[in-house]
Amino acid sequence: MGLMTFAKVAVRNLFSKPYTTNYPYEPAVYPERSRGRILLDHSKCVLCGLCSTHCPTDTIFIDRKAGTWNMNRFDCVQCGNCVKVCPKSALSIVPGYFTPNMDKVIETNQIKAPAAFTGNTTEPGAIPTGPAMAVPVVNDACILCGACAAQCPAGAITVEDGWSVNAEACLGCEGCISTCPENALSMKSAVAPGHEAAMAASDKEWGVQRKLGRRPYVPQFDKDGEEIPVPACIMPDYVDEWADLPVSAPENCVYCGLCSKQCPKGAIVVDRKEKIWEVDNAECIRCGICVENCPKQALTLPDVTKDVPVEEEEDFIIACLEPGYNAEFTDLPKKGDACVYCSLCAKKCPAGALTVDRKTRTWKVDNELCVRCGVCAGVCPKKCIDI
Amino acid sequence: MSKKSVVPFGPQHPVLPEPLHLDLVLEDEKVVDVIPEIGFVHRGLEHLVDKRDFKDYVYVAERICGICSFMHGMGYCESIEYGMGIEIPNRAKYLRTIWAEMSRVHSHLLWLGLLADGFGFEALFNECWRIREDVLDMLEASTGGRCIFSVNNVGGVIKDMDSAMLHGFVEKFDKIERDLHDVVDTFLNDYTVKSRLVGVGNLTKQAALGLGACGPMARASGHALDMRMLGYAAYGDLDVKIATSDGCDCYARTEVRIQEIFNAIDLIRQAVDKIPTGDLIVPVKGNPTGEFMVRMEQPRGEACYYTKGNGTPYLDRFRVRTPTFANIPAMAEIMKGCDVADIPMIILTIDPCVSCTER
Amino acid sequence: MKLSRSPWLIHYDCSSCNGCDIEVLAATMPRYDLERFGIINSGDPMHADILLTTGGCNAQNAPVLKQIYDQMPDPKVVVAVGTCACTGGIFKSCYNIQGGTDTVIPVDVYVTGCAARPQSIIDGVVQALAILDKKHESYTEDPKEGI
Repeated sequence: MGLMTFAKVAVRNLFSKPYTTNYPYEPAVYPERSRGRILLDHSKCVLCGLCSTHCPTDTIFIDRKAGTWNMNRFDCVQCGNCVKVCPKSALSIVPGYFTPNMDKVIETNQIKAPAAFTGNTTEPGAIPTGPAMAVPVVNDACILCGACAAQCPAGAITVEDGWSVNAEACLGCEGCISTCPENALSMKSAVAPGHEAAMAASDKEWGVQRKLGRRPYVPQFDKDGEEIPVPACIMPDYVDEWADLPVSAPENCVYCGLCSKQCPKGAIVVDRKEKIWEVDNAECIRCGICVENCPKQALTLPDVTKDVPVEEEEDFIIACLEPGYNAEFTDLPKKGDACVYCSLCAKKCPAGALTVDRKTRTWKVDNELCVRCGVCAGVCPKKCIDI
Repeated sequence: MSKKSVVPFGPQHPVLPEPLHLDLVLEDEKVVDVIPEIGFVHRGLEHLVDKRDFKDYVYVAERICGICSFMHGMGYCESIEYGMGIEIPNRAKYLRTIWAEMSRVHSHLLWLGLLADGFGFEALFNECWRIREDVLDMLEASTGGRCIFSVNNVGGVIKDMDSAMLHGFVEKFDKIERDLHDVVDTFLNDYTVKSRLVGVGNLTKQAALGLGACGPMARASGHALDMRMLGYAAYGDLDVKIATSDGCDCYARTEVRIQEIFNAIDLIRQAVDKIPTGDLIVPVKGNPTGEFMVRMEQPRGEACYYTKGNGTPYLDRFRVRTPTFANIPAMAEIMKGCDVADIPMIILTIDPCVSCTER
Repeated sequence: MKLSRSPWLIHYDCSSCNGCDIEVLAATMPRYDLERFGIINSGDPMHADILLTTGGCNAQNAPVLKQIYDQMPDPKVVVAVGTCACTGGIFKSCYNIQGGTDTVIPVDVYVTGCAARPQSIIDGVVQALAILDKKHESYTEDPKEGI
């Protein structure tokens, strides 16, 4: 019959280190895979609504008309299903629960401008209807295999005697693009009739705004009530309106063809016999190499950037101040292959971290100076900077 | 002839972690009759199959109970996989087995702690749960959650444990075994503990079978009933030892559960040695049609999972028969004739999981 | 004398899956010790200052919850632990669940999580203690005013 059998354990515990974690006085340490809360990457979300449909708690709902992605933080059960089904990998689950609060928090993220988009508001858990941000279109490479239709979560594609998509049902998730074995699909912006201009404007605005982490552009009016046009340099299609094409001053040009040879895109056509000098609008990337190399200085590239009004500091929010931003996760910006070394990013960098040399074709970013704000990615006319 | 009085017990009571109401008919200090009232935890989650895709429903199924959470998710996935004829990869089967056995270890340690709290031995309660925290650390490091794991999906599992992690776990389990020996010594040999457990709540061998008891209740009355012998998941490849006892009282059930902890640790070692490489999940095409049922050995006994599909992504019916439901008549029977002071022991000895029972 | 130096706790499970309940008990265990703040898990509503609820409310346990709340002496705080107690959680579209704890009694702090971690529970309880102090001050200034 044992008496005081627990005494050995009790004495051992008395003389060993305390087992308690000193929680509020020391930070909590969570394992890497711990599931705490959901984070959304605004720039990748396309408001397709798959996360909302597959959420077992009905806590996520998207409002296509208002362009928002909303979540009730106090309703999430951290199952991770939304992270698994998101076709753009815009969601991730990270350790650390949402802090306890006296009120229940419903978080709203503005993904797109609440502009002329005629999609309707979605009830939690319901499949969003109405035109998506973009719908797929097919080209001649299509072999009618039906792989896109098989994977479509909304069942919007029909492949029978031809390929067709039901634009009303399409979620815009772009899953079909990657499934196509022939690369026959691409996304086309789907705008309701009569709203193309407004849609295009809001798209441009939002394309940059969301990359720069800025709040929505509010139209400014001057003292006569006339609207001040949106500054051209913040438009993602900046190259179209940014600079006029290089113009040749005919009195100086000798039709030597050096500009044509130097042009990285082959956009200039020079004919010495006929005295023709032409530049192709679509191909020209406004890099300015022809301007620099012209022996007669016959070429100029009009630059409108110097006329852009500067926004005041407190009027815009840069990405690093957004909630959920974590500098440890964000890498340095990387340059893609389409770079033309126009050095606009270096001009616009608020920290002066970029060095671009057109002649030697170098592009460098300083690790210490870079604040990971994303302005360079927003202003790049070739959209070749990855942050 | 003494008067009978009716004392209500629960739903809120210091010894009960869950709401359960019993009307105890007492004559002096002896219980003459027990009238249970249940339904406080009924949520009606089986009806949610109408609203959730069968692939998303696994997250609802694993929240039937927070202690046996992994087995519920696994049972649901296995019943659909069995019905649709999906063969999951071997590695997924072994991973499910390892997680299931870890779940069993943590559930039994939890129960041992609550039993100690039931007879007032708080130091032992704290010690059991301290050891359990190590198991929860391992579960969190591998799945991401301490209670609800969310790793089971129809077709396999979605997280992996590589061999470095698995061997680390086996070493931690060695340490847990050493720590457990002292605790087990107290439970089985201490005079005060034995006086509370021995002779209390006698369930004879015939009565156990007649009342439909399952799990440790039946095994402590001498029946070697264990659903792991059916060979689901990876149990067919492993050497499963069944723990039985002939004592028929609370002390015997404690012995059986303690032996099961050691058997589970042994099974984890075997599984880690034999685990093959391979995929984790296979894609699921189509929808379930027809009726299927599987049975599983939960920490508390035998659970049956029935699903009925009709060819759409939404199931027609999903029904779970949990072990506590089968053990409640046995509990009511053994409570008759006992002292008031023994009531918490008897309630805890069936390892009640009221949220499983009342879904 | 601050009430928040030694508040006593009562925990009631409304219709929870048990995950949050065992995390509440684990919060009083050696690893995340709530008892070092002076908190004891008493089982008696009449001795308690803080009510921790888990799980959603249904028609059967709503009167029980109300009775426990009424039996607690003022000043008191209510902490809803877990997603099911905040909003009904994954079960809010079930036929038997009315919603979270705030459909029956007023809630002071919401702690989210499924199951809510002991660290979050400690955070929630610490916030609730600050509210309890405020209530105690306004109560002792004029007991007739009430809370």
